Amino acid sequence: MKKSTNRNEQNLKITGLGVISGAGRNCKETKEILFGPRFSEPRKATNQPTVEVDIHTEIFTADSTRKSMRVNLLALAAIDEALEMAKISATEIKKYRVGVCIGSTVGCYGFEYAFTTEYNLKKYPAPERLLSHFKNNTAQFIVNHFNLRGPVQLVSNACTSGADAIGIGASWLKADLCDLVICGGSEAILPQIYAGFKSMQLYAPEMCKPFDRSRRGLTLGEGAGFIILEKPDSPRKSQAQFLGFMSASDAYHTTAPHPEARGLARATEHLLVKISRSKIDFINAHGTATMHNDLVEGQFIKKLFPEVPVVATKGYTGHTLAAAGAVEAIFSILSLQTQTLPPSAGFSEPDPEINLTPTQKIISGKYQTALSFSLGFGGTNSVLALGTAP
Amino acid sequence: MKKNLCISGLGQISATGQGIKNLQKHLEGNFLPEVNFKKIKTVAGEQQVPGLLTPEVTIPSFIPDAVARRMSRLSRMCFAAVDEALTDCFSEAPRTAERMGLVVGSAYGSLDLANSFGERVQLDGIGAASPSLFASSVQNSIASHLSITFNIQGPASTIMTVEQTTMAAFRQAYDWIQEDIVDHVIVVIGDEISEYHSYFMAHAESDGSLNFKSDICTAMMGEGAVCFIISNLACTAKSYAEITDIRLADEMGEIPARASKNLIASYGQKNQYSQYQKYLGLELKLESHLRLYGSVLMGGAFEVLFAALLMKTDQVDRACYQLTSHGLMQSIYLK
Repeated sequence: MKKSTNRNEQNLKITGLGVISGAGRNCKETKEILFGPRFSEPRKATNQPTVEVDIHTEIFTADSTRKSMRVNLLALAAIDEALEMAKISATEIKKYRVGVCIGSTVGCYGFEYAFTTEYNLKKYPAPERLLSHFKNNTAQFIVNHFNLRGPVQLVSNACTSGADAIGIGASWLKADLCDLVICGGSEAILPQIYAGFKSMQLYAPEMCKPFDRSRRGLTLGEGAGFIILEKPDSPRKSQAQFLGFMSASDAYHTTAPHPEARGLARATEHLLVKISRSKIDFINAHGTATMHNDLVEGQFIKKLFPEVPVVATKGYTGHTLAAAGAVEAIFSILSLQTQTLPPSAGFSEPDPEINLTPTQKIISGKYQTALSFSLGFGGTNSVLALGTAP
Repeated sequence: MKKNLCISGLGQISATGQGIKNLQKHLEGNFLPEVNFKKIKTVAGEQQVPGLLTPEVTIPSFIPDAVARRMSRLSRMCFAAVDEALTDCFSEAPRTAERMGLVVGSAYGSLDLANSFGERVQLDGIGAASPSLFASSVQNSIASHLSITFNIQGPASTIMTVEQTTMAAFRQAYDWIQEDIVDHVIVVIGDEISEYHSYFMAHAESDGSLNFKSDICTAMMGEGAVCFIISNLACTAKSYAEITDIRLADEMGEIPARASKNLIASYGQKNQYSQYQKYLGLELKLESHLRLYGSVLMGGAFEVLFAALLMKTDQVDRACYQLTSHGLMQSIYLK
């Protein structure tokens, strides 16, 4: 099928990418793992079966930075990489009105785990420590770290947060609230989050298997993914294009998706007004490996996009929750750049109820437009549309 | 084409009571809300910390008991405010679920509920985690419950950006309507007095007088929730005020001082008035209603509420300002 290109001068430019997850500590490592000759199981933390990331904290020069909350360090590591790729130095960035929009769940409470533990054990920790607790919001941390001057927002929409942050960043640029936006998501896994998912019987006893017949739930992972989003007239080199974003609510259940994917369908339909369905070359599915998510999402994809290749990447990273939408947007961009789809780690046998077979090996092709789906607790659904650089 | 936006419905709960009428009574009669006390344990023993606490919240009767039981205090406050605002705006008009969005804003969210979940895990181990408490402790659970209860099928977003939450929430609603994603957005902004806040204030040096012009700290804890229905003016018959602009990051000297009256979000910190003057000009008369809502990071939402209510009577355009922790000014302009 002949497909038209994405060459549209009006689309926002993605000029930098940064990612850190169980699939690698930067874009280069991630490409080696996603598109490399063999897949190795991601490293799991020793105290709980979550996917942990080895942050090289020596890249942060200030001692005070190194002592910041893990969710902030993950964000910083990814943002450093994204800025470097966009060739924006710490000095140069101060010339611009820079917006910061970050999706996170733990990043908005500023949880200093040691403080809350001491407090709950009635050890009466010094109240001054609460000041840092209150000021540890990840978005504000990034703004203060780089001394930025622009709009700031932390969005906490559970597992769609990272994708939502990118959508909000795009709105800011279109409304000329800033010159460029650092947007994405960051998440660290606290023991209570693991406990919560385990209590809901959503946690897999082994590494997760998205869309697989024998899937038994999710695996949590930490990570961060950020992009530098700029206006179409930016002089910097484009890594990819932002083609659109939409979100919609199921208004159905606090923790389960609507059985007919009501919100996801509406968000997708809205985007397809702008981007023809025939132009979608692949879909990065949310694919948590929970029974409900994969059933609903898989059936929706199969119905609306029966011929489109589907990639599910949580078998590499675990579910990075609020970061997932951004991390997977970057995986999609890496696919657009390399013209290669990775195998969906963890998948081996299709579920007959879904009848969806995600990628099982590295596939090369001509990929110009991708959709990345995110679904979250609370019935949130978000869809990002991304395209190759013009 | 740029759309004209307005505030088409209002609801609130605060120390002045539940409902706009209670707030107006305090505003017009110049009454002060009653000061209550939160008990908190410190190393020096149990202390009573003063605060402007909301009264017991009455939530709509159609909310199932099973849902109500799992709600945080903040969630109950938000429900009360949203129910009032929706009734205010749509009592005689139909609404379409798909053309309605929702923004929930809070500086910290339901901290007490999140901490009680975390405490149980920290003290009793992972096996002690309660699944229903976990689901309710997720930051967007308020948005989730609201979207289900009131059948809101447009986008729903939860914003938690400390003192910058209020203006970001308004801006989100503004952009969704400008981009023609929805016709109406429910913006509900709230904060609760948490155990952590009480613990901090038990050790703080403040005279508790809630004076925004003082050169000493006068903070006293406050809490509440305010709801606005933001509408495309072309899609509503009701309007308290038109929103002409929302700005998120103005430098000193960049701020358009174009309103007849100027309201500021304040907490009673020392020198807050002079800080605002530096940005907005020494000649500008600045007002705050801090004494009615207390020191709460979503105080700016209360100021927007006062601006909308007062404009009904005097038809004078107003601006509401929020100074950010990194030295930028946020503002919303109403006419």
